[in-house]
Amino acid sequence: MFILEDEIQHWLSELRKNPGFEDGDIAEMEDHIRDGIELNIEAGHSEQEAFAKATASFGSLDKTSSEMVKSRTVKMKVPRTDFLAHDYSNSTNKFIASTIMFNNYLKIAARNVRKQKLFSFINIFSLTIGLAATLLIFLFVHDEINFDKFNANKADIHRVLQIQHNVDGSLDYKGTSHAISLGPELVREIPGIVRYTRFFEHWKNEDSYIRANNKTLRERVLYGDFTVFKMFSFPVLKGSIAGNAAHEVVLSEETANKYFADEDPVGKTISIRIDDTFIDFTVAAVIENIPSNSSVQFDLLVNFSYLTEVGFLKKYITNWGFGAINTYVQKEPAAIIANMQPALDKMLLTHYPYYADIAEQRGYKTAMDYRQLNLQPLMDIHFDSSVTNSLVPASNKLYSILLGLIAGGILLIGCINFMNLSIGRSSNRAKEIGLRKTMGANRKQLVVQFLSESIVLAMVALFLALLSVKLLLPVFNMLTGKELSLALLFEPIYLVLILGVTLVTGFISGVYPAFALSNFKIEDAFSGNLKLGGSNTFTRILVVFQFTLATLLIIGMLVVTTQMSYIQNKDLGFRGEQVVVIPNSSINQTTIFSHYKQALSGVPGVLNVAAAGQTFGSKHGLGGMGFDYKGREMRTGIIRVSEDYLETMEIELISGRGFDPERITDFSKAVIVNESCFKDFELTLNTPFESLGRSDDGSEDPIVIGVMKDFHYNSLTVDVAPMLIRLSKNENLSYVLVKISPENMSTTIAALNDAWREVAQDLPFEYTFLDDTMAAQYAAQKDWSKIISISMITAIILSCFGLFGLVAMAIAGRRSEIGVRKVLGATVAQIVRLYSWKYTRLVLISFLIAMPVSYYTLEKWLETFAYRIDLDVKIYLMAGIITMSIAFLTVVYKILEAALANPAHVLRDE
Amino acid sequence: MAASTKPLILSILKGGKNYGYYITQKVKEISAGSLEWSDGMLYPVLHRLEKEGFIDSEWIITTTGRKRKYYAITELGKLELIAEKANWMSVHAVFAQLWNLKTSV
Repeated sequence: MFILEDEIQHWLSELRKNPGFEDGDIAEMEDHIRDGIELNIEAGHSEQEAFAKATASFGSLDKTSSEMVKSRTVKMKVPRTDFLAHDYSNSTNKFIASTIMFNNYLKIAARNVRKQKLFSFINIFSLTIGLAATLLIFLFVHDEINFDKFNANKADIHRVLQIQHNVDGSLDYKGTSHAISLGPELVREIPGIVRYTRFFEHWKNEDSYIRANNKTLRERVLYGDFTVFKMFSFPVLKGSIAGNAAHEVVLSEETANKYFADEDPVGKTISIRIDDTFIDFTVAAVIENIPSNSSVQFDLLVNFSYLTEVGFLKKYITNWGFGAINTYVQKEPAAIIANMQPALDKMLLTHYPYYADIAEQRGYKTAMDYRQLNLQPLMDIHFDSSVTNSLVPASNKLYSILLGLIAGGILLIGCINFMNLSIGRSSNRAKEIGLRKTMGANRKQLVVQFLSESIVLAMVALFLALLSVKLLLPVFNMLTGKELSLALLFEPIYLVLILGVTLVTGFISGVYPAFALSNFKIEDAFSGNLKLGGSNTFTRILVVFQFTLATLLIIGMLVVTTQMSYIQNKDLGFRGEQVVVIPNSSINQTTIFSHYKQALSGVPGVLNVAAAGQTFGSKHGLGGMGFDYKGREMRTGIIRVSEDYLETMEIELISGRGFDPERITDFSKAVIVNESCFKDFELTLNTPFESLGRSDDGSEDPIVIGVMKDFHYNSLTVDVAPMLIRLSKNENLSYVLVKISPENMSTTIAALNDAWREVAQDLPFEYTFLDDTMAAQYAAQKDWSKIISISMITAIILSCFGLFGLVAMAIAGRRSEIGVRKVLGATVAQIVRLYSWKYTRLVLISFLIAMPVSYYTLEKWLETFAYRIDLDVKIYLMAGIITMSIAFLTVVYKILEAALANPAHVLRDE
Repeated sequence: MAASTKPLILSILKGGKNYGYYITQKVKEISAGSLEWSDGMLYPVLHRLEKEGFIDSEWIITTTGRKRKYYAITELGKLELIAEKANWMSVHAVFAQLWNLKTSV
C-alpha cells in the first residue's frame, strides 16, 4: 500500500540525515518536492508515479548536500570593479549605469513618500492646489486680457467717443451716443478711416419679443450696419450679408437653431415686435455664435438701414443734435490715429459750433478742452469702465489684477509649503546621505539625486493640478459666465510657461537641501547633530511670508463679505421683494395695464397694481432731464407713474401729499420729489419748481406737492441723485408693477399668469421681482466675492497645512528634548507655551506686515461703492483672532501630542 | 554546476521574485530540456547567490498554508547580471568570429 504522506516524510528524514541541509533548507526542499508531486499528479500520474518522478528529478541527495555545505562558506561579493572599470567608458554602459542609479533614486524617493505619508501628502497636495488655482485664474485673466482679441482687425477697429472734460481738466464723462451721420461723415472726411459700423440698442435696453415658426421668445436684438461682418471676425455660416436690404436680419447659430431647428433659416421670415406690432424680417444669414469675450454681442442683428429707412430714426438722419448711436470705425493698417486728431476736432466744431460758445462761457481755454472726438482702440474697450453705456458692460481691471495677485499668492504659498516640507523631509535623510557618501557618492551625484527627486514630485503635483482644473472648469465657467477651455494651457508657449514654473519650484525646493545636505560632514549625519527645516532662518522667513499672504487674504475676505452683506441688507427705501415687474405694452388704442388692472381686481394676494415709465436697477441710471440751475448744468431723474405708485412701492412720504387723480391739476403740474432733489434745488412745499421749466402738457410751472424719503433706485455703487415722480395721464407706461402679499406667492403668480393670458394672448407672461433686479446689479460683484472667497479659503488652508507640516517636522526632531524637559519637571502647559510661541510669533509678525498692505488695497475697492462699510479696528481684530487661532490650534495640536507622550517611551530609544 | 547557471537564475529573477521549483521548471521550459540539471542542485546555487548578495530571499506562507521561500534579485545582482551579460556577449562574439558564424542571431 502506497501512502504518499508517509513516503514524503521518509524522503525528508533521509534529507535530514545529510549534514548539508539545515532546518530552513528542509522546509524549502519539502515545498519543492510537494510542488513536483502535485504537478505530476495533475499531469495524470498516480501518487506513486508522481512521487517517483519528483524525487528522481530532484536528483542525488548526497551531491546536493555537499554543494550546500560549500555554498555556506561563500562570502558577500563586492561589486565587480572589473566590470565597472572596464565598461564605464563605454557610453552604452554608462547609460545603463546611470539608469540604474536613477532607478535607485526613484525607488528611494517613492520609499520616502510612503514612509512619511502625511508630510508627502501635504507636500504634493499643496503644490497641486497652488498650481490648480493658478491655472484656473490664469485662464480667467487670460480671457479678460484677450477680450476682443479674436478679431483679425483688432488693431484697426476703434470706438468713437465724445469726451467731455471739466473746466479743471478732469474727465467729466465719455459719451458713446452719437448722431446717425457721424459714421459716414468720418469715413468721408478723415483720410485713413475706411469703414464704419453703427449700433443701436432699443431705448428700453431690454430683450425684444421675437416670433418665428409659432414660437415667441425674447432675444437680445441689436441694430447694426452689416459692415460689422467685414470689420469684426464674426464668420458667416449660411446665407449672405451682401444684400443689405432694410428688412434683413442676421441670426447667431444658437438663435437660428432655437427657432428653425433643422430647417435652413436663410430666406425665412422672423418677426420682431417693434413699437407694439410684430414686423416681419427676412433672415439673410446665420453667423457663428459670438464668443463670450467679445464686446459686441447679439442674438439677432437687424440691418441698421431699417432704422433709417423705415424705423423711427428716419426723421433724425440729418439731425446732429440727436445722439444715440454707438459708432465703430476701422482705419487703414498704416494710418495713425494721433494724426487724425486735428481733423476730428475740426469736424466736431463744424457740426456742433455751439460747443465753442459753451466752452467760452464756462471758462475753457478752447472748445477742444471742453469736448473732443476720440477714437478708442478696440482692445481698450473691455477695461474702460468710465464709459457707462457700452454695448457690453466694461469689466473692472482691478478684479483681474486682484485675482492675478491672489493666484500668485496661492502659488507662492503652495511652493513655499513644497520647499519647506522638502527641506524638512530631507533633514530626516541625513543618514541616507551619510551612507551614500561613505559608499563614494560625490557631491554632484547627491545634488542630482535631490534635485531630480523634488522635480519629479513637482511634476506629479502638476499632473494632479491639470486633472483638477479639468474637473473644476465647468463649475468655474458657470460662476464667471465665461467659456474657458483647458486647451489653452496646452498651447506651446503656455505649456512651456507652466512646465517652467513647476520646474523652477521643484528646482528651488530641491536645491537648498541638495546643497545643504551634500555639504555636511559624514560624522554629523550619524551623530544626529544635523537639523534642517522647522527652525532655520530660511524656513522661518518663508513661513512669515506665507502667513502674510494668508492674513491679507483673510482680511480681504472679511471685508468683501461684510460689504456685500451690507449692500444686500441695506434698506433701499422700498419693498422690492413684494413687487412683481411686468413689461407693459399697448394693445390697439389702450394698454395691457388698464385691462390687466381690471383683471386683477379681486384676485387674492394682489395688494396693489400700478404702472411706471421706468423700473429700477438700469445700468444707465434713471432717465430724466437736464436743465440750467444757477448757471450750472443740473439733472433730475423723472419717473412717470400711475396714481398708486407710492403705495405699491411702499415708498415713504416725508411731507406733503400723494397724487390725487380727482384733482385735474395733479396731472398737469404736480411733482413729488425725493429728499435729494428737495435739498439740492432748495425747494419748498407747494411752491413751483421753477428751474425744471414748464410741464410738457400745460403752461404752468410744476408744483412740489410732496417729498419722498430717498430710495435707492440704482446700485449702491452710486449716490442717490435728485429725482421726482409725475402723475401720467397716459397709461402707456413701460412697466406694470404688482404688489403681492408675501403669503402664497406662487399661487398669486399663477393667478397673475392666468390674468395675463386673458388680456394679452399673443405675448408671453414674463415677470421679475424688483428685488431680483436690484440684486442682479451686484451679480458681478457677488460672483467676484465668491471666487475671491474660495481662493482665500484655499490660501489659508494651504498655509495651515504648511505650518502643520513644519511644526510636525520640527517637533519630531525634538521629541527627546521634550521628554527630557518633562523628566526634569516641566508641565505640559509650560512645554506648549514654550514651543507654540516659537511659531505663533511668526504668525504675529505676518499679521503686522499684512495690516497696512490690506488697508491700502481694500480702501481702493471700497471706494467703488457710494455706500460702504468702514475699515474699522473690529475687522482687523477679527482677522487677527482668526489667523492667530488657526495657527495656534495647528501648532498646539502637534505640540500637545509630543508634550503628552510618556517620556519613558520617547527616551527609551536613546 | 555550469558557469551559465548564475546568469540564468539572475535573468529569471530579473522578471520578478520567485521560488525554487518555479525556477527549475522555467529553465527546463526555456532550454527545452537541453540545459536540464537535477532539481536539487539548484538550491546550493541559490544559496550561494544569496550569500554573495546577488539575490535576497523571504519566506511567504502560500494560500495552501505551505511555507515557500521566494528569491528576488538585488541591485548588486542586477549589476552582476550586466557584467555577466557583457562577458557572455563577448564570449559569443569571440566564438562567432572563430567559427565564422554569421553574427546576426
